[in-house]
Amino acid sequence: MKWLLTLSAALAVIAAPSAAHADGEYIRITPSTIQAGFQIEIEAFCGDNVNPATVKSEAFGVVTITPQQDPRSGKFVHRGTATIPQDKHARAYPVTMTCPSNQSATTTLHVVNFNVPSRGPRTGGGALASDNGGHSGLIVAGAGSLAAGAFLLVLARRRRQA
Amino acid sequence: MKLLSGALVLIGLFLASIGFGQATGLHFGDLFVSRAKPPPGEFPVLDPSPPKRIRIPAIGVDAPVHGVGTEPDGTIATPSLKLENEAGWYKDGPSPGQYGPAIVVGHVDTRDRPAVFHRVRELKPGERVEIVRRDRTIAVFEVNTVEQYSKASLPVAKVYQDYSRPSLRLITCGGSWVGGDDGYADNVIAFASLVDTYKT
Repeated sequence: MKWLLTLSAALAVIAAPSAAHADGEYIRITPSTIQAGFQIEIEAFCGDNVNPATVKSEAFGVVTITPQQDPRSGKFVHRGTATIPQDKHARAYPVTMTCPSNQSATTTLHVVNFNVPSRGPRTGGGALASDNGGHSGLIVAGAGSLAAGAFLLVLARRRRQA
Repeated sequence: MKLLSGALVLIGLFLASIGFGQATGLHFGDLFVSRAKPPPGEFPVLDPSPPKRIRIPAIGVDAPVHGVGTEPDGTIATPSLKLENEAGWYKDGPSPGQYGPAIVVGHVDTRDRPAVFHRVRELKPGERVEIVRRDRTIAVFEVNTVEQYSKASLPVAKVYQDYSRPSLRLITCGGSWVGGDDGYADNVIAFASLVDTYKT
């Protein structure tokens, strides 16, 4: 009995650390930076496990993601979405994904939270604004020349008729 | 007499259309050329780090960048009008290289001279903008398009809320001078996408 316990303990010690990432577990959040109030996409891999995985973060709570078979590779990839509440403070939040096999992977989600009005920033002092005067000067000069030309044309025709 | 009047009419048309083109920023050639370039498919993504410097070789910009917040009315603050060669990064938004729009504002002019972003409206799709970050990474952006909007109503979703990839918004002033709170009537905005990064 005792040797069995020792054996299983030894096996556990050997198995546990190597199993943690043995199957290439990962979690990816797109986009990894997001405005509060918006939605993110979660993609995770649990070593072809077909049971749902859970994703936890202070940024959005707990989300269950379900595996879908990738048509090309035939592998099962977990996918899901989460929405960050509008009142979430801006900072970096750790995100932890736990596979059905209890192996896990982590990543970071950066939340930004700003609300700017549609009115644009004031980015000018006006030094170049006088250029507009120069342009309208050209327009006025052009229009004047046009009018003078037309007037002379009319005058010339009248003289010919007279 | 007839020759003179004909010449005057021609000169008049010529001058008036040059003036009109300069005043409105419309150019005949632009009517036949697409003013936008779609962002490339693959892109890098960086961790947060504030910008320190902006370089745009195509229009001769090489300027320090400091963080800016908002004005009391909620609009994005701008550098002091005395700092003509300095740009402001909106520090509540993403930093250049993170997913989302990093917003960098710069004056088109001060009260008496052109300022850091006075040639932003001349940027062409495909031209490069480099941002040097505090972590010494350099984020390289490619201009997609340059747009002009009335300052009273920017398209908020397009300018501030596009998280499809790491991008940059260079914002300055343009259009006619109306004075008052607004100064210039419009904002000129260059939209750019992250295409490359390297370390110094």
